[in-house]
Amino acid sequence: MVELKKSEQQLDRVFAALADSSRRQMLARLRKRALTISELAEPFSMSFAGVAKHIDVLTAAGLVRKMKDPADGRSYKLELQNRTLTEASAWLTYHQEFWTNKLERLESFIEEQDHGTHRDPKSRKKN
Amino acid sequence: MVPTEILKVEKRINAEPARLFQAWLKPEAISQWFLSEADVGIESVNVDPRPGGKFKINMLLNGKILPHEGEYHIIEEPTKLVFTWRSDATGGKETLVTVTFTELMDAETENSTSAKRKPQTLVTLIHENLVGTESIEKHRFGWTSILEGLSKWGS
Repeated sequence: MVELKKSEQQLDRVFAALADSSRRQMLARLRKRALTISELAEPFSMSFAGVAKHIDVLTAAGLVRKMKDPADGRSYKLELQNRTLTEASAWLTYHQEFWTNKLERLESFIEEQDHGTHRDPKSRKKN
Repeated sequence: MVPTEILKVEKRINAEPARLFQAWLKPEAISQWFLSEADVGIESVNVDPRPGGKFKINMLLNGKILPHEGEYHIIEEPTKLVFTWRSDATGGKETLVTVTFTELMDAETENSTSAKRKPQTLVTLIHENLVGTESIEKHRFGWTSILEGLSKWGS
C-alpha cells in the first residue's frame, strides 16, 4: 500500500494546477533552476498579472515555492517543489499498477482454466 | 461530453469477450483472480451484478480487512461494464471504472482460409474521478502522460 500523505483537497489542487498547459510549461522551465517572476514570464505572451495568477495557483498547490533571493533581500525566486509532483505521480502509479496487475492475473486465470491446471490458492480450505 | 481520461490500462487476452466479462461478475471467479501480491488474500466476495447492484471485495492483508466496494452502473454483456470503486487507496473517495471488452480479429490467421480463429479480446480499463474533475478543464490525454511529459521536459 502506498502511503498517500496528501489530503484529497490538496491532490485536487495539484491536478487542477496541472490541467493547464501554460502552468505545465512554467513547471517545466523551473525544472532547470529557480527563476524570478520576470524570468519565468519571459516566453509567455500574457500580462504580468496573468503570470502572477498562474504562480498563485501553482503555489497554493504546493508545486512551487517562493524563496527570498539571498543576494537581494527584497526580490524572490520561484522554486519547483519536485516532491509534490512525485506524490501526484505516485497516486496515479499506484492505481495504474493495481489494474495492470489485475489484468495480468485475469490472463493467468484464463490460461489456467484452459490448461486445466488451475490450482485453488487456498487449497486447504478452512471450515 | 468526453470524459477526462484519468488513467487507462489495456491488455489483450486470448479468450472470448463473454468469458472475460463473466470473470468480472462471478464471485467464484473473482475470488480466484482478483488478488494482488502474494501476501494479499481474499476474505470474501459479494456481488449483485445488476445496474444499481452493489459489490464488495474484502481483501486481507496481514490480518487486516481492506474493503474494495462499489455499485454497478452499466452491465452490457459482453462488451461494457461500468462501476463505482472505493477503497483505502482512493482515500475513501468514490471513483469510476469503465471496463470494455473488444473482440479482436487475429490478423495472422487471415490467410489461413478455414482455420479456426483463436478468440482474442482487448480489455480496456479506464479509471476516472481519482482526482476532483469539477474544477479541471477537459483534455484528451491521460494524467499519466501529463506527468510523464512533465518529468521529461526541460531535463
